[in-house]
Parts: sequence; structure tokens; C-alpha cells
Amino acid sequence: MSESWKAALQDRMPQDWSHEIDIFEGQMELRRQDRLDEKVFAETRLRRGVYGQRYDNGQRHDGIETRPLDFPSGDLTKGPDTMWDAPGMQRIKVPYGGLSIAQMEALADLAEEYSDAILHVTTRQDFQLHYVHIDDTPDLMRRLAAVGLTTREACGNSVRNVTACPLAGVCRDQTFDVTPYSAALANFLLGHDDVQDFGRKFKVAFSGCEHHACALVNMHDLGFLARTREINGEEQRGFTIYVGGGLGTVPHQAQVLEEFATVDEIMPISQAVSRVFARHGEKRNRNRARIKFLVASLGIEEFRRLVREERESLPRDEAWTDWIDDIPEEWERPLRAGMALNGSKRPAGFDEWYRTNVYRQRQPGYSVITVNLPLGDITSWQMRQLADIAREYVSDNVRTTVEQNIVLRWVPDADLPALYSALQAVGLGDAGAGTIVDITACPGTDTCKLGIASSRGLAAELRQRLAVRNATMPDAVKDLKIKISGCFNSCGQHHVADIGFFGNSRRSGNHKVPHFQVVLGGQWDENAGSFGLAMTAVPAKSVPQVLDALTDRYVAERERGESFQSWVRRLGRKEVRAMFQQWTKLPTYEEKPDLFLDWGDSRSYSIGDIGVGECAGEVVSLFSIEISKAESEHFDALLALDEGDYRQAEGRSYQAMLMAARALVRTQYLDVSLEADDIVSEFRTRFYDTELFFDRFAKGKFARYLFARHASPPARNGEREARQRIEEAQLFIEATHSAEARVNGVIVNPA
Amino acid sequence: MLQRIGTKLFLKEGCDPDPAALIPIMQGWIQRRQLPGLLIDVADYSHVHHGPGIMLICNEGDLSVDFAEGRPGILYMRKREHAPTLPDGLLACVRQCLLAAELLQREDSLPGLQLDLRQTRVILSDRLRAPNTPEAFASRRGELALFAYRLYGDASLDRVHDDPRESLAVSVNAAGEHSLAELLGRTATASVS
Repeated sequence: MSESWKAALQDRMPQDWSHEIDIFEGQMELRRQDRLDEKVFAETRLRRGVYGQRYDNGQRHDGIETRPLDFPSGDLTKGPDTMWDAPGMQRIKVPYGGLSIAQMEALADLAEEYSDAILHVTTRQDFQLHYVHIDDTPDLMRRLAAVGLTTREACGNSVRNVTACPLAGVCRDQTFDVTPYSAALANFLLGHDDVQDFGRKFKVAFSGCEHHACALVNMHDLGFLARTREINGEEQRGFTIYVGGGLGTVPHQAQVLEEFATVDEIMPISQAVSRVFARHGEKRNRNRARIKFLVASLGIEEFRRLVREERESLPRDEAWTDWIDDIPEEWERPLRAGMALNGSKRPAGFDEWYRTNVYRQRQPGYSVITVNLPLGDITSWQMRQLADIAREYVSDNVRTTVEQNIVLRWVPDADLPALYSALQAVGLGDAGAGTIVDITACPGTDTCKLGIASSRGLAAELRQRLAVRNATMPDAVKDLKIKISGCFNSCGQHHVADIGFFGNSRRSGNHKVPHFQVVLGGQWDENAGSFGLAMTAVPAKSVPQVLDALTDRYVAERERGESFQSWVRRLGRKEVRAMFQQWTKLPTYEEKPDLFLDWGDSRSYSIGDIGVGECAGEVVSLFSIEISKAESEHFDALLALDEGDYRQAEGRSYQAMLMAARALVRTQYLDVSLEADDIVSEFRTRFYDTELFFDRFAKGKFARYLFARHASPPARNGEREARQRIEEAQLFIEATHSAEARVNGVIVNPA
Repeated sequence: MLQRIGTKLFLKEGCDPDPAALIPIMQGWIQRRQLPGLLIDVADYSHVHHGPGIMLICNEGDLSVDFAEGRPGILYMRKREHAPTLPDGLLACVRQCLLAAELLQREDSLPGLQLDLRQTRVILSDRLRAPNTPEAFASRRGELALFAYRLYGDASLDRVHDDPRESLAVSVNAAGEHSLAELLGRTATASVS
């Protein structure tokens, strides 16, 4: 039996992923010893998908008063005002939502061992585990890496999970299957040098068609919409590329960056966009730092000019195109032969489930089925059962969706009744996928530091009420979409729902009342074609009545064929507000105390627990991030020395010097490669020959440690050599810090 | 040290507590600090089928009125075991369940809540050090038997699941009847904090 997951999985993890996790573990140790700044560590941690949670500042309002949470690690923090021991969230990237059975089973195990046995699917097709201790995260990451999943850049100011339509490849209306392209771009951008210096997060999506919701490219920082054109009688694949969309407080529709870019251009264009964003994007004011603000301020023409100019100057990279020839004819294969739904007996409830949860594939005899997850949650046990169902019917053809569900693809139609029964047996056979009962909600006040009102509490309540009425609801209402965010940041995507809600609060006398702003008429189809209009805020506890009034009136007044969006526009904001007026006048606490509570919470409502969000992360310079990795490498060298592994201690020290030198070079020249010769050459030219590296006393002495080691590795690897190299590396890293501060105008120890 | 260890005490058949009633109860425990340990928050998972129900999140471990397998019970999962031995750790877990049971039985909103104290489910959730295999069960049998003896005196052990993907779960079956007060007495020296 292995002593550790690191040892047990050594041969099953990609080497570079394994090394990254080791580095993160080293940075954790540096932070524990207070040798790594908490802000730098916070951004490092976020870039590993390790996120803060509500109450991690060490205090909580328990309904009577705010009291300290005295965590055992005392003052040790994992970021500003973020206590080390406080439970946190681990986000796990799932590019294009694609899951294998092995990954499903690993996720189930991790939720059970490190979290609360619940897996939560997010609106970006990720998974999230809550209440995770940071000390458990390296092993958690190793176990993910062993099944091909990473948490890298799942949070922080970088490229988040690349999403794609969950029907890609089987959609009846698609232009072509975008799956291989989304997978390739996700892989290309993961950890890429050019996505490390953003002022804010960056979201990418792929859609196979224009008119359905697909991947919502209109609300993305960078969106790809599949297109084809004919050149000399041959069909050529490409994408319309959108840029500068986003929800958040101020939603922006994306604009067309390129009408048609061939598939071999998606990577260089994405890289060029990344560079333009890194160079020109806002870094100080995080509220204006998303790329949508840059596109808006420059104008799309100027932004396009900058991107094209950047594109021309990019050094050619084989990785742009070397994947294209490897795209298989069929990305996935069915496990079983397709067969029509025959006259076999249909279990009770099947017909309604078939109507809402089954999508007929373009491939005859096959369907996609949606497993409708309440609030995006599934237990570890259910995930294992679902893995077994997938094993029997579809193999690895499983994907998560941005509506917080899971789909099984390539189900032979003849198997649908049996599969439905199997899902029912494990509590996963709920009908209503994609309908009004299938409500999307962000974590809100349950776990999010920014949450103002309980989005999940409200979603659970509405789901329960609507499910009871589902059978008798008119179709026009059944097919509406409800999306709920706990605050204005729109993680629940309320802007693109027919009926959206986001949390806020109002005051009545000396008491706060949880509220939800009602946002109506957003469009999910047409790739999030338009955003809803904010109407008015109503108390959280009144939302069910507000919803009833709204849907009843829509059914009564809609004209033949009139969509909800059109009806809302026709009604007008003034009339809608008038309809809601009866709920907006607040009683006193004494008159109606229940109104002063939030859903699923018996505590007196308070906004005292709202903290500083980590959504944006800390804006930490590229140099700070990179030099911290050098320091971690140096720390590992020390550990190797302690273990008597002198060869490794010496080698890691040299590597730490190279990493520090590269961090410095990249403040001037982003494109320096990872090759030692290149790093040393660029460092010498830019910082040694120019004497920028020199300090008043040591001059270039510490740089020469690097040059000497680079020129001649040690003839023997004894303890003395290792110790010497460790000392030299320490001095070199310190000198690099000083040089960077001098070059970038920060005065250090003015003489 | 195992990653997670826990114990579950099942409710008597027919006891099916309303999850909504548990939220204010557990939030009250936090206000009044009525259980040992650092009590942090209450999580509502009542919407998932056979799920963890309502969970009191604590620094040392999580306590839930759990509905797994459709058998409601009080589950305490210790997150980071620091007890000197496995039996000590498990006794601390079961004591936390017993203390919670004592509090729940005082609640007017949960009338008739009764536990079946003849059985304790032990869960060792650590697939590296305690996989769900006959061999791992055999290697832990001595420690589990000691725990069973300290809790019940005369008791037998059965491995619950054969599926190697599941956590190693063991049913500790008492030979006779035991009261809540008696078991609280037997675990009096154990604590999670």
C-alpha cells in the first residue's frame, strides 16, 4: 500500500501537472512559514481553483450577533482576511463539459473524502466541491490529474473553463461539431504564458449554431460560432469570432471580431486577443477590468486593429495547428447500436420525462437524455450509480451543461424506458429539464462571500412549488426559464432568463429585508441574444406570489404566438412595476417578521457577512506570480537537501535560478522560451549587459552564479555542491526581486 | 491518520424528520454553542435524493441528519482525525451523534424522534489507507472490535458493501439493548475538540 497519493499516482499523472501541484504544495508551505506574501498566495491559490467561502474571514453573524470563528491555525491566512482553516471551495474544470466514467467515479470519491459528499455542477460546466480544507487540495488535485482533470486556472485572473454546447456533435442544427476545437483551445490556453497577466477573468465558449442557446457566445469574453464557407468548391470550416461580451453588473453583448476565421487561426487569434487584453486592459480598477470594458472603450474597430497587428507579430507556434490533423472523424462513438423506440412497456412518468428530457440526435436511433439535477447537485452515491448507468448504455459519452445538469449522449432510443427506470431508481429521473422547474442558481449566501440573498433557498422553494403545479401548467409557462443570482454579479445568469432574479436588500425601520430584483425578458436562445430588463425589487419571501401573478397575467394576456419577451416589452416597465407595487411597500418588522427572513434560513437577516469577493482575485503582477514559483522550486531544493537527495537539491536550485531569471526577462520580453539557453541569453543581454541587474555593492555577482552553473554543471553531486547551489539560488532570487523593483520604479531601501 | 472517519446512528423505522424543521434547530445550536467543536454553518441538501439532508458544518467534522440509502440517521464525519487511535476517534464521532440525538429529542418540532441504538454504522472514508476490500476490513478488524467493545460491550461486526468503490462501512451490532444515557456514559471521555 502506498503511503501517499503522490506516490500512488506518480505514474498516472501527466508529469507537468504533477510538477505544478508539487509547486503549489511548496507555495502552501512557504505561506505557512510566512515566507510568501498573502496576496501573492491568494492569486496563486485562485489559479489552482482553490476559492474562498463565506465566513472565511473568521467571523459569522449567527442571527443574534457577529461572533468570531476561532480556527485552530490562529492568524495564519491563505489570503487577505481569509483564514487558513476556513472551509473553502474547490473548482474543477471540465473542458466543454466532457466527462468519462473514470472521471465521474473519481469526482464521487473526492466529494466524499474531502467535501460533503455533494458534487455541484456550475453554470460554466465545472464542478465545485464545498467545505474543503486547503491542506487537502494537493492530494485532491493529484487524484483529479490521474483521471485527466485539472483545477488549474479554474478561478483567478485567467482563462476559465472553456465551455461548449452539450449537444455538439449530435445536434440536428449544428454547422459542425465544435468539440475538438473547444478541447484543443482549452488545452492550448491552459497555463499559456500569454494568459497570466490579465486584470480579470476571461471566459471562452464554442457554439455549433447561431439560433439556439448552445454556448451563449454573445455573453462571453471570447466566443466562437461555427461557420463554413465554400472555397473552390470545397467546404472550409471556420468560426465567427465574438469578443467583449459579458454579464456581471453591467452586461455587454459581444461584438464580432472576425466574421470568418479558419480553424487554424483560432489559436493565434486567441493568443493575440489575450496579449491585447493583458497589455491594454484595466488592472487597477477590477470593476472595469473585464475585456468588455476594453472593447467598449477602444471601439471594436480599434480593438480589431490591435489584435490583427498583434497576430502579425506573434512568433509562429507549431501548437497552433499540430492538433488539426489529429482530429478524429468521429469525436465519440456510441456504445450500442441505434434502435428506434419500440412498443415496449413504458414506465409511469416516462412520457412526461420523454417530452422534456430527451433530445433526438441527428444520428437516427439515438437520443441525448438530460439528468435534471436539483440546484445542480448530485451526491457521491448518485454519481457512482450514474457512472454505472453510463457504463451500461453510453460509455464515456457524458457531459455537464451550463444549466447545471448532466447529459448522457448516444442513448439508443429503444433503451430509453429501461434507462429512465434506472435513473428513477437512484433519484435522477426528474422530468422538466430545460423548463420552468429546472431553475439555475448560483451558490448565493449559502457559500459565496458576495451573496446578498439566498439564491439556492429561493430556487429550492420555487422548484418545489412549481413541480407540484407542473402537470396543470400551460405550455407557455412550462417552457419559461428562471435563473437566480445571489447578487448583481450574475453568476446565476439572470440576465439571459425569461424571468431572472438577483439578490439585494432594502431597509424597513432598523431591519434589513432580503430582496430580489426582478429581471424580465432576457433571451436564452440566439446564443443569449438579448438581456432582460430590471423591473423592481421585491422581498425574497414574496417572490413566489410575484411569480404567480406574472405567469398568470402572461397566460391571460398573451396574444397568439407571442413570446414572453415580446409580451414584457409590450407591457412595458411601468406597467410591470405597477403590477408588483403591492409587494414593494414594506411592513414593519413587528407587523410581518417572516418577511425579514431569507429562504432556508431562520436567522434574522443580515448583510454583515458579505465579504470581499475572490471572483476577480488579487491583481498581482506577472512577475510576482512567476517569482513565487521560483521560490517554491527553491523550497523544494531545501527539502531535497534535508532528505539527502543532493542531486535533486542542486538541480532544483539551478531550476529556481532559471525560473527567477525568466520571470525578470518576461517583464520586458514575453516570448522568451522555456529553454535554459534562451533564458540565460535573454537575461544576459537585457539585464546583465545593461547592468540593470546590478546593485550598488554586489554589482553583477549574483548573476554570475547563474552563468557559471549554466556553463558547467557540477562534476559531482555531493552535499557541499548542493548547499552551495542552494545558497547561490537564494541570493540570485533576492537580487531578482530587487532588480525588478528598481526597473519598475519601486524604491527599495533608498540610499 | 485516515482522511475521514464517521459514525451513523439510525432513526427507528417510521421516523422521518422534516428537514425544514432541522434548519432552525441547528442554527440555534450554533447560537448557543450546544455541541462541542467549532460550529460554522448549516447547509441544506434536502433537495437531493437520499442525500446528506441538513448538515451542520463544523471545523472538526460535519454532523448531519442524513438520508443516505433512504435510512434517516444522525451522521458525524470527522474531517481530519487527530485522535491517538481509531477506536478513540470513532468513540468521539459516536458521542457527537449521541449528543445531537439528545438535543433533537428535546425539540417540539420533531415529535417522536427515536434512535435504533442497537446498531452503529462506522464509515472509514479513505480509499488510500482503508479501501473497501475484505483485506482492509480484516486489517482494521481489531481496532473496530475494540471500538465496538468500548461502545457496547458485546457486539458483532459486518462489512456493509461489497462495491470496492464505496467507502469501507462496517455495521457494529450490539448484542443487547442500550439507552442513550448509557451510551453517553460509555463515551464520556471521548471528544471531537
